[in-house]
Amino acid sequence: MSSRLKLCNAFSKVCQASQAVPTNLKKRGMFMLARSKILAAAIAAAMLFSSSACGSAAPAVTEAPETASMMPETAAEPSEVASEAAPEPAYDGPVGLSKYSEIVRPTFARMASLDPKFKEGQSYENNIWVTEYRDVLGIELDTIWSAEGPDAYNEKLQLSIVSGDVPDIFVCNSAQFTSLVNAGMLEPLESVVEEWAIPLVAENLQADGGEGIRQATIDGNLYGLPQASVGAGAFQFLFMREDWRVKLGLEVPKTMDDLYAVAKAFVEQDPDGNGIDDTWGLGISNKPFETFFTYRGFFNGFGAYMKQWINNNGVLEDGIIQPEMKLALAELNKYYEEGLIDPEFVTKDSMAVSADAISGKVGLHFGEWWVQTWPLPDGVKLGQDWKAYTIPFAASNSEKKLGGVAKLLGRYVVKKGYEHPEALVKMYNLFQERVMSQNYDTTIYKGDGTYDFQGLAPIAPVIGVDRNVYDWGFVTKAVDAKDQSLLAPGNADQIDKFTKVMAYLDGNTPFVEGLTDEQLNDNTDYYNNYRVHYGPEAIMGLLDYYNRSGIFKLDAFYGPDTPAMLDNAAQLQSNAEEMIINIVTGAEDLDYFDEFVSEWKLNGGEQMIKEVNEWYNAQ
Amino acid sequence: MEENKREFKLMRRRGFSAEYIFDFFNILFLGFLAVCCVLPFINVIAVSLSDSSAATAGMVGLWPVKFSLDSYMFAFQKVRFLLSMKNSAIRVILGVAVNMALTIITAYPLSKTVKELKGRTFFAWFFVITMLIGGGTIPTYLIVMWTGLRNTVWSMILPGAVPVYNVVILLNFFKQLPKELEESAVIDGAGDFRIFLRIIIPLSMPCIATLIVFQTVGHWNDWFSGMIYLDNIEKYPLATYLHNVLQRPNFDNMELQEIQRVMKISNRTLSDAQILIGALPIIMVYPFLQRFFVKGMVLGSLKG
Amino acid sequence: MAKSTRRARSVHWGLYAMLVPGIILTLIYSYGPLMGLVIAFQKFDFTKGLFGSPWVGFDNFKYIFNLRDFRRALGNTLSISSMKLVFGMAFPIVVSLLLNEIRFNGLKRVIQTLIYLPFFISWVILAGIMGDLLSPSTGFLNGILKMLGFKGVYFLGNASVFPATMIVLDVWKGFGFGTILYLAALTGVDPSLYEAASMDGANRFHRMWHITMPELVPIIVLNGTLSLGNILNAGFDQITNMYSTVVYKSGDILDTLVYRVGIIGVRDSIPQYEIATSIGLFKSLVSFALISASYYLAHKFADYQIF
Repeated sequence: MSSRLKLCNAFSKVCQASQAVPTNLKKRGMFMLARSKILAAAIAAAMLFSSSACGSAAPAVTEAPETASMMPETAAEPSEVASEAAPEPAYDGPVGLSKYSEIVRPTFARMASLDPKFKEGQSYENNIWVTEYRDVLGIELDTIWSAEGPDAYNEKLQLSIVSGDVPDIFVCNSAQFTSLVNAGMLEPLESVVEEWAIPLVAENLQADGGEGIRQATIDGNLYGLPQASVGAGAFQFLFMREDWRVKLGLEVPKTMDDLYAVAKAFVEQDPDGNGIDDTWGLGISNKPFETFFTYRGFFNGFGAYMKQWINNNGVLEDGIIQPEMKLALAELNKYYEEGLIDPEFVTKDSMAVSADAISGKVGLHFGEWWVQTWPLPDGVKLGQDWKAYTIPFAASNSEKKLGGVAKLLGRYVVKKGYEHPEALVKMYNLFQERVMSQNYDTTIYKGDGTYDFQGLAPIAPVIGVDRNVYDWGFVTKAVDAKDQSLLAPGNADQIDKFTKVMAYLDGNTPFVEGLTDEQLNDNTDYYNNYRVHYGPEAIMGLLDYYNRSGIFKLDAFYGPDTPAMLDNAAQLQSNAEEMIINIVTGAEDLDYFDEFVSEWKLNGGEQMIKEVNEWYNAQ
Repeated sequence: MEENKREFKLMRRRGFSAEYIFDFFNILFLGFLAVCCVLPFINVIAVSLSDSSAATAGMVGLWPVKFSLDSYMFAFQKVRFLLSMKNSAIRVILGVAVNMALTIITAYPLSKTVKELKGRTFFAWFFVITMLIGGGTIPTYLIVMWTGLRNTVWSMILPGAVPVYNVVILLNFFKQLPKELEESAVIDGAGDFRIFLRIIIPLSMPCIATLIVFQTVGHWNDWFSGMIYLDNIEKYPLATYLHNVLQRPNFDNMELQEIQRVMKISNRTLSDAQILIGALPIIMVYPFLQRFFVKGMVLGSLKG
Repeated sequence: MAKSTRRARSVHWGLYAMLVPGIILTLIYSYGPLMGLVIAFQKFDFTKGLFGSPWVGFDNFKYIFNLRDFRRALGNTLSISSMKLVFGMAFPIVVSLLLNEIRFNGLKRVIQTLIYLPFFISWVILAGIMGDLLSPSTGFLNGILKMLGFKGVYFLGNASVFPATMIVLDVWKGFGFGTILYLAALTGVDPSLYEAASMDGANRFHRMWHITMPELVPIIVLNGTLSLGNILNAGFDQITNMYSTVVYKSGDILDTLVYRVGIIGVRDSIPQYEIATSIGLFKSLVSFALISASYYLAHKFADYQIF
C-alpha cells in the first residue's frame, strides 16, 4: 500500500467517526449532560464536498457521458428488468439516480436504532428517505422484518437465512458474508456497480484505496457494497487532565516511564485539591477489547498490538501472543499494585469508567480521537480540561508505532436471483449524493438534536474521505491570521469551526464562574472546537502528524474470516481477556502469559496462524 | 396434685409469654426481610422521580433528588411504550387463558390412577420430558414459522401452551382431593363433566389461582420469544421493548458505527419510570388473587 | 354393576379426549424442535440448514469436554446451582411457616406482598443497584461492615466470594415469590387441627412441625424433584449481568460460557450453534437422569408418584 493510500485510510476511518459522534451526542448517550448541541456542529461538519486531501478532486455529480451511454446497453438486455429500469424520458440526471417507470418493491430487513429519533410526525415508514426512494428512484422498500440493535439483528438474520427467507436487500457482517457467498446465496454485483454507480460513489469507493471493495470480493467477484470505508483505524491518543498536569507542574509524558510518573503524581499529589485520596492515574475498563478507555494505546506504547495481525518478517502472527505483550502487562500490573488504577476497575465496563472520568476521578486514559467529543465534554462542563497527546513509547520499544485495524464491518448485499440488483446501487447512490456531495443540504439531510436523520436511511453508506483533517489546515491558517477569507470558499463547516475557535480565543471558556446553562453549553462547544480543530496540538493536528509521519502499523490480515477464526475466535478472545485481567490484577503471575500462549495455540490459534499465512502467501 | 396444677399453670404462662416473644421476633424478622425486599424498589422509584443528571451521577438513594415527573411524562408520550403495554396485555390475557385451560384439562386425566387411565405413566413422561429437553432456538423458530405463527401473538403463546411444571403441580393437587366427594356426586347422578366443573375446579381454586399468578408473571416478563418471532418492533410486548431499552451495550469489538447504533437510553430515570409503570399491573395481580387462597380454607373443613 | 362399568368406560374416553389438545400442541411445539438436536452432531452451517450441514459424529462433544473452560464452568454450575437449590428451597419454606404464624391477617398480607416485590425487578436493573450497593469503597453494605470493624468485601470482584454473593442475591430475589406455592398449600390445613393441638398443650414449634410441615411435605418433595431438573441451570440472567472477567474462575457457568463463546462471541462472527446445542443436550441428559432417579426412588421407597 502506498503511503498515500494509508493516508486515505486514516482519513476515512476518521470520517466514519465523525459520522458516529454527533449522533452519539444527540442520542444523549449515558450522560444527560450531553444533551446540548456541543460539538455537533464541530464534528458533524465533515463531508461537505468530496474533494480530498488525498489529492483527487471529486467531479461534480453530473451525468458522465459514458454513464449515460450505458443506458441503451441496459435497455438492450433481455427480461423485464430493462424495460422497468428505463428512466422516464424527460429525465436527464445520472442513470444511477433515475426513476423506475414502475415502482419496484424489494424486500428489506432493517436494523433499527435502539432509540430512534424522528422528526415530528415521522416514523420508519414515513420519512424523507421513504419519500425520496419513491419519488426520485421509484423504489418502495418492503420491510419484512426489523430488529433493534446489532445483536437482535444478527440473530434474526441468522434465522432468516436458516429458514430460507432472506430479504432481497440487506446488510450483513463479514462472517455472514463469507458464509452466504460460499453457499451461493448472493448476487454478484460487479457489473451492476459498474453500470449504475454514480461517479461520486465510484470515487468514494476508492477513497480507502479500494480496501472496502477488496474485502467485499471473494474469488474475484464483488458480492457486496461496503457500509463504510475501511480505515487505517482507530489510532490511539493519550487523553490527559491538562489542568491537573499544569497544577502539579508535570512534564508531558514522552516515554512510558514518564507516563508512570505522571500517573503516580495524579494519585499521590491530590490533583483535585480536595484533600481526599480519591483520584486514579490511569482509567481502564474491565473489558480489554472495548473501544474506549482502551488498553490498546498503552499496549502500543510497548510495541504490543491487540485485535490485529502483525507481519513478523513475512510471517503473519496475532499481536496478542507476542512477547511485547508481556512487558505491557507487567507494567499494568505495577500500576494496579501501586494503586494507580482503580482497584475496582474489574467490575467496571467502559461506560462505568467514563462515568468516573467525568466525575473527575481519572487523570489519564487512552482512546480514539472522538472521545474528546464524547463523552469527555460532560466533564469539561464540570471544569475539567482534557487534552489529547500522542501516545508515549517505552524505551524498550524501538519500533515506536501505533496499531491500526483495517477491517470492513458491514456489507450491503443482494439476494441471489433478485431481479433488480441495481436498486441497491441506486439507493446507495442517493445517500451519497444527498449527504456526501456538493449538493449536501444541511438543512434537510443533517438532522439536529431532535431527530436522527442519517440513521433513518435504510442504505446509509459512509464512504469517502474525511474532511476534518482537511478543514484543520484551513482553520488553523485562518485563525492564526484572524482572517476568515483564508478558508476554502463557500465551506460552511470551516466557517463554523473558525468562528467557534475564535470565540474560544476571545475568552469564552467553559471554565469561568457564573455561566448560565446555555452559555456553558456554547462555551464548551467553542472549547472543543479549539481542542479538535485548531493548531498543531489539536487532535486533527496530531492526526495529521500521525498520517504524515506514517508511524502506524496496519492490520496485516484483511482477508475473509478463515474457518478457524469462525470456530475459535470467540473462545480465544475470552481466554485472552481473562489472561489480561488476571495478570493485571496479580491473580496470575507474569509467567502465566506463556502458558496462555501455548493454550492459545492449542485451542485453534495455531490453525488460525496457518490459515492466515496461507491467505498471505496467496496475496 | 396441687403442685402439678401449679406447675401446669406456670408452664402455660411461660408458654404464653414464650408465644409472645416468638411473635415479636417472628414479626421483627419478617419485617426486616420485607424492608430488605422493598429498599431496591424504593430506590427505583426515587430514581424515576429524580432529575436525570443526579441519577446518572449515582446520587439518588431512597429519596428523589431534585424531584421531577419528567420521566413519567416522557414515558407516557412514548408511543412504543404504550403500544407495548397494550401488546403485553393482550398476550397475557390470551396466553394465560390458553395455558390455564390446557393445564387443567391435561392435569385432570393425569391425576387419575393407572386403572382409570391406561397409559397414564406414559403420558406423564411424555409431558415431563419436554421440560428437560429442548431443541434450541433455530428448530423452534422453524416450527413456529411453518405453522404460520410468526409475527403473530400466538407465536408467544402456543409454543409454550402446555406449561408442564404447572401441570405437575396441579395434578398433584387433584390427587390430594378427597375421593369421597367425587364418589358421592356420582351417586347423586352428576355427570363426569359436571363433577369436573362443579366440584373439582372450585375445590382447586387456591392452586389454580397460584398457577395463574405464575403464568401471568411468566407471560408478562418473557422477552425472548417476542424478539425472535415478531418481525415488527411495533408488535413487541413490554418485556421485549424494555429488554432492548435496558440491555447494557457490549462494547467489546464494537466499531464506531455500531456504537452509534447502540448508544441509546442509559437515561436511568426514564428506564426506571418505565420499569415501574410496566411492573405495576403485574404486581397488582397477586393481592387480587390472594383472596382465592383464603377461600381455599373451605377445602380443609371438607377434608376433616 | 353393568351400569357402573359403562360409566367407567365413558369416563375413560372423556379423560383421553381431555389429553388430546395438550398432546397435539406438545408434539408440534416441543417434540418437533427436537429435530434440532441433530445440530449437536454436525458442523452446523446456517446457510445449509439442519439437514444439509456436514455430520461430525461426537466431535462437538469432544471439543467441549476438552475445553478447560467447559470443565471449569461445569464445576461452577454445579456448586452454584446446588447451593441455590438448597437455600432457594429452604428459605421460602421457613418464611412460609413463619408467615403462617402471624395472627394479624393485615400484617401478614402486607409482608407477603412486599417480599414478593424483588421478583419483579429484572437482573439488569438489580445489577446496577447491587453494583453500587456492594462496592467495596462506596457501597452501603461495606460501609456498615467497616463501621462494625470488619474489612471491606469486594462482593462482585473477588472470585472467592462471588458465588456466595450470587447465591444470597438469588435467594433474596426469589424467596418471596417462592412462598406463594407453599402458602397456597397451607390454606388446605384444617384450623381445627391447630385448636386440638393447643388443647393438648402443643407449643408453636410442635404445631409447626407436626401439623403445618406434613401438609407441605408433598409440595416440597415435588418442587425439589422438579428443581433437580434445573441442576445445570445456575441462573444465566443473574450471572451474565453481574459477573466479569475477574470472577470467571468461580463464577463462569455453562450458560454464560455458551453465551460468551457460542452465541455472542466475537461480535463480527456467527454463533456456534453446534456448541450451544451440544452443551444443551448434555444438560438435558443430566437432568433427565436426575429426574428419573428421583422419580424411581420416590416411587419405590415412599410409594409416591411425583407425576
